[in-house]
Amino acid sequence: MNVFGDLMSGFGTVLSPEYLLYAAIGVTLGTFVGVLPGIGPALTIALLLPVTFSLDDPIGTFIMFAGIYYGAMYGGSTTSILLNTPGESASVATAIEGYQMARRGRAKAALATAAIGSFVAGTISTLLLSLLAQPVAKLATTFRAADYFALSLLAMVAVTALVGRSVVRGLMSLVFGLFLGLVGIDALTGQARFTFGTMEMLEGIDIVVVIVGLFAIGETLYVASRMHHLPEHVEPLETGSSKLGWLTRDDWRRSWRPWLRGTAIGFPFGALPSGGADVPTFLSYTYEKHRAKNRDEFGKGAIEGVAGPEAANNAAFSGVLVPLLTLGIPTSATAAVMLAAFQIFNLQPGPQLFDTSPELVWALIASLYVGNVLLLLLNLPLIRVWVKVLQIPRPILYAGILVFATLGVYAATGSVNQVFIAYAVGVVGLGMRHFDFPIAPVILGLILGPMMEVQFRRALLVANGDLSTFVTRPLTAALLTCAVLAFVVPYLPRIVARLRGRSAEDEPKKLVFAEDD
Amino acid sequence: MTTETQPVRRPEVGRRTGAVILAAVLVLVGAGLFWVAVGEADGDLGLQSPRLAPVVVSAAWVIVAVAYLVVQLRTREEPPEEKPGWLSPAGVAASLVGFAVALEYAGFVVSAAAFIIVVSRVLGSRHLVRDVIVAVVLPIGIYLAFTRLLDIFLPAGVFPL
Repeated sequence: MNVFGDLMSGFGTVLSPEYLLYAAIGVTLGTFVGVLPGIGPALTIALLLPVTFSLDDPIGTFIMFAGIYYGAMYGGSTTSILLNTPGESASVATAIEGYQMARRGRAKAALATAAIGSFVAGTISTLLLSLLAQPVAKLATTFRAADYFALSLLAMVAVTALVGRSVVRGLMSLVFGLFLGLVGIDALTGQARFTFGTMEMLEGIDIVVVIVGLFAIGETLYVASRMHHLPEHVEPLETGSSKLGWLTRDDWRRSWRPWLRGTAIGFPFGALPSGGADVPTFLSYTYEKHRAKNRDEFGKGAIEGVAGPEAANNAAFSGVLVPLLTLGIPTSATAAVMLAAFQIFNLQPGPQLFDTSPELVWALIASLYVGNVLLLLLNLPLIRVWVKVLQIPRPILYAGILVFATLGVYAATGSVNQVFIAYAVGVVGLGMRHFDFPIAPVILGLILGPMMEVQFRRALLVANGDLSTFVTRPLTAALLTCAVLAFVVPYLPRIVARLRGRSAEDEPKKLVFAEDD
Repeated sequence: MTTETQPVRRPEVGRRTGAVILAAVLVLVGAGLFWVAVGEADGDLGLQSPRLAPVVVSAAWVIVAVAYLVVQLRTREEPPEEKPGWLSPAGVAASLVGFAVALEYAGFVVSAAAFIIVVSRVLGSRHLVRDVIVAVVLPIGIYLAFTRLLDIFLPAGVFPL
């Protein structure tokens, strides 16, 4: 058993005081930023990227990132429950029941089942990641350029088709991202594309600029456009009787199965290119709702509806790391930001990573276990501190976010022109929010588009320009078929409704993994 | 504003009208990009040419934008469920531009302080004293943390530190 030895050496690295400090800083920063309303993990990492620029130690940095990510997720669930403002679509499901629980004076129980569920799911799924990573990386060495092309295509299509309410709008976002990815110098031949004759565009558009622009600046402008609709009211934490425990015996009994089921749903969906945590959280929610004996309690604060999706959310993150670490393919917006972070350190995730920097990989995986424990220790006792963060006045909060966003872009690029590009992207982000275009496909198009193009041309080079290379290899053909199927899946309820003879007008236009049938 | 007894459609620009305009603009932009891409390709559209992808992507842009336009034209006009104001975002955007321009001349601390005061005001804050305190403390804290602890360059500008 080599995995065990590797993992132990990873723990050996992480458990040194220096790296434990990195983990603690990451977890605290992540929770702090994640608690801020409207900020999800992807933006948290993007905003905190500049903090790491001067660190020359990739291991410490990635330990910190793992902490930031987990912290952002825990923090996000706190905001969803107490304020009903999920920072990203993956915590929308948590907000449904969680906020209702908080309104009925059960905020503590909701926070506890979210935190403990995340811990359980995080630990189990990290274990699965430890076991799966190396075999998948080995398998990945047999992947050829054509497979990578098909896989990137599948990852993009899945996010576009499965996440968001309209495939056309998703595709528009994706095409916009692909366009942004094309700007600059072609990686293989060095020719300038879509630079419109400017020097500034030659280097291409930095992923950090786009993420900060779309998420931080776009979100703030959007909030500014509807200032009167801000939920200002933070549900209070109940005090008194619950000194002894956060969860009653009954809560535990009702929570543990959803935790495990959420993990079982979350991890595989995260590992497969299916858009990260959005789909599994809604699947988990729907499943718990259907299974529950007390179905009428759903919508009024059923603890199962918090426990399941939160576990799925956390498990999906470890799942997302499988294709990211072993294939170098991000399958969610957050994974794309993580990939950008890797690239800052000139590390290319992929099968070779396990050979070239095993210490880093295993330290990263070990830090996931450690981060989980730290979060559980940090989060529940300190919940009152995080609630204080929620009470920062909105105008100050958003002013601070904008300062940080500007600072982040400036520190990352050293150029005011790039800051202006980020602002312009932010205005686009405002428009996208206003017209309900999903953001994640832009990020994935930007990251995966160039990757896909390079692999496409490489595959053709190997095959002497023969296009049939994409259909003759079974693996490639299967992946391409999945990409086509991903487009059909969202329309299944409509098709089923037609077959049952009901009017399709009554059905939701597209499956968003939350409706009742 | 309409009164409660008048639940009829308001004659304002609804979601759909806005979306139709957007779709039309997207089609035009896509067509422009396609034209640029084809021009840059100059007939060289081999499968392995670096000129192929821009043509494919901009063509896809046009197709999707047309599809979006068709979808919008076929949906019913709905009155805006909540009317967004455009004054605040415009104010925020203007403040951002001012911030970015001032950044390298006035330095981070001064420009950020001014920016925080102005933007909080735009976003509806009416506590000037609180805003000023934050506007002084936060940028100085960030500046010291980034330049001293993290060794990241930030323009010092007129602020002697």
